[in-house]
Amino acid sequence: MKKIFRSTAVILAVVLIAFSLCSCRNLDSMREHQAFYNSVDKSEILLGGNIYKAVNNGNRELMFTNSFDYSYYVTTKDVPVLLSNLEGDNLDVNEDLTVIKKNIYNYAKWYVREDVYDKYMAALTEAALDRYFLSYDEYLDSGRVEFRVFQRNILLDEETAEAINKLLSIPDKDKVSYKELSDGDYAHRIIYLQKCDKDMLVTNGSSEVSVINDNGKFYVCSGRTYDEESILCPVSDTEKELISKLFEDYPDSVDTYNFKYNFEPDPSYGKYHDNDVPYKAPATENSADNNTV
Amino acid sequence: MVKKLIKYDFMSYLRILLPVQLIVIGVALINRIIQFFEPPLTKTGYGVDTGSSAIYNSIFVSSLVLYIISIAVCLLITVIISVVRFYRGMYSNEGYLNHTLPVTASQHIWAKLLTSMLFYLGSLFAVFISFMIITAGDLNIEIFKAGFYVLGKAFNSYGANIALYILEGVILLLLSVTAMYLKLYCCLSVGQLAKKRKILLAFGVFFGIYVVKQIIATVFIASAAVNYVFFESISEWISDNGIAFIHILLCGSIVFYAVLSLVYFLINKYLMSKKLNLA
Repeated sequence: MKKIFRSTAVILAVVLIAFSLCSCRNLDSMREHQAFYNSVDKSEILLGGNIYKAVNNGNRELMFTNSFDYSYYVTTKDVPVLLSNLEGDNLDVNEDLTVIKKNIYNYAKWYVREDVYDKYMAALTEAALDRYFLSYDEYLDSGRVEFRVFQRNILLDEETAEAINKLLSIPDKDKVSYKELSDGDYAHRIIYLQKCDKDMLVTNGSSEVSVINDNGKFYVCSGRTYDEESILCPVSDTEKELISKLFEDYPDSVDTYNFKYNFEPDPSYGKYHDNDVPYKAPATENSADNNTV
Repeated sequence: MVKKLIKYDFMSYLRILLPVQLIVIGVALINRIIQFFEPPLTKTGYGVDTGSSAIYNSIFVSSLVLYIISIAVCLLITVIISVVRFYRGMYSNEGYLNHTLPVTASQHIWAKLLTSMLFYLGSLFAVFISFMIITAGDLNIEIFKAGFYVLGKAFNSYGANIALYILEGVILLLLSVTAMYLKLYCCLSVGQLAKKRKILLAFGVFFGIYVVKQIIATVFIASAAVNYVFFESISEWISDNGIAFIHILLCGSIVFYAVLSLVYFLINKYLMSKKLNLA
């Protein structure tokens, strides 16, 4: 009996030591996706051997193309890897691993890799936001059941950016009202642009420019306001070719709906989506088709 | 004399249970060997692909399911063997010999109980060893790191109360296993009173005990629903005194199982000494 116990113990010990040389792929993956705070005040993060420093982005946002490697977490150095997703803060990491966005409730803290830190700081503080980019969603089948959606950003060339800036700077008397646009639910094809710097490192996230194609007539509109007067900048013949090329080259970024609904109620919803206020549809030729209250 | 009883019981259990425990360890070993053939992670341009080898996945999952089943079977067989050994030793033909030994009924019960508990804990230890094997390597180390980290955090938050919780938990585990075995012995002791169908009566007693417990629990829940104001004040007290409440809960459970064990033990002792029916 003692021999059996002794030999069992020896075999088990040998086996356990042999197995200690092996790793587990999911564990390796978790280790790759665990970042550590490199300073007490959490202004530095260590990930994959690189140090990322916190930036104060002010009113600007860093351009961010999500890597869709969702499971990054940052913890203090004493937290074991198996508990990183419970104890740590969730991180989004840029596709080229230069920017980290730490999600904290309703705001984000940004970190930039040390070797490109100066470049990003210069873009955040000094760079002029005189260029534009557009976004579109890329749908992919990664071989599994679900599709992965990637947001791609395309920087427009300097010539197009200059044309748009020139159009937006026309005097108010040359602008037209939104009422010039056609009617119909899907009447307009629209591309949304956002401002960025020339290297597409930073953007002013809140400011949006709409480029509208209304049956071959093109307009540019800066931001969204409910001022019905002088909102649309008509595209002249000199810029028409550049602007129309946007719709040809980037069909995936085109949105189709009635731009007038930003200023007028959508007939299918009601004014301001307020059910207590009875909606009265504007009079049209076929009054019998109106939904009147 | 009791030592000899325990010794021979021990040898008898070992012959049956040791192979079962070794099977659990063997299945864990097979599963760990299968993990050697795990396909590596590949990174695509769109994120990490966790490796979609259908053959490996199906074999690994099958061996894992087999491992879990083997654990359940091992623990179940441990309990069944203990019960069968008790019945055969006390109330069947072997009982004629055992009850002529210079041993009291209490000593018989203690001997059987101690051996059963020893092997139940042995089965749990075998399951622990199998778990160590199946996670052998980096994963094992990380599991221990995580465990110690959580314990450290718990100590920082609750101080010495954690050590007390652990101690109370261990005592509760031992007492609950004791109560389980004594309940089963009690069912057999009542069952042996019948002239025929002794096992059937034992099952009936087991079911009866279960029904009584359910009735008591239902009455308690119903009274809680009726006296909700009183129970609301209790839940308020619990939220203010969480640490103390856990101690009260654990110690209360310990007392409950201790009393239950005592009751079952006394019933066993009385029936074995005064109402023995070996016919």
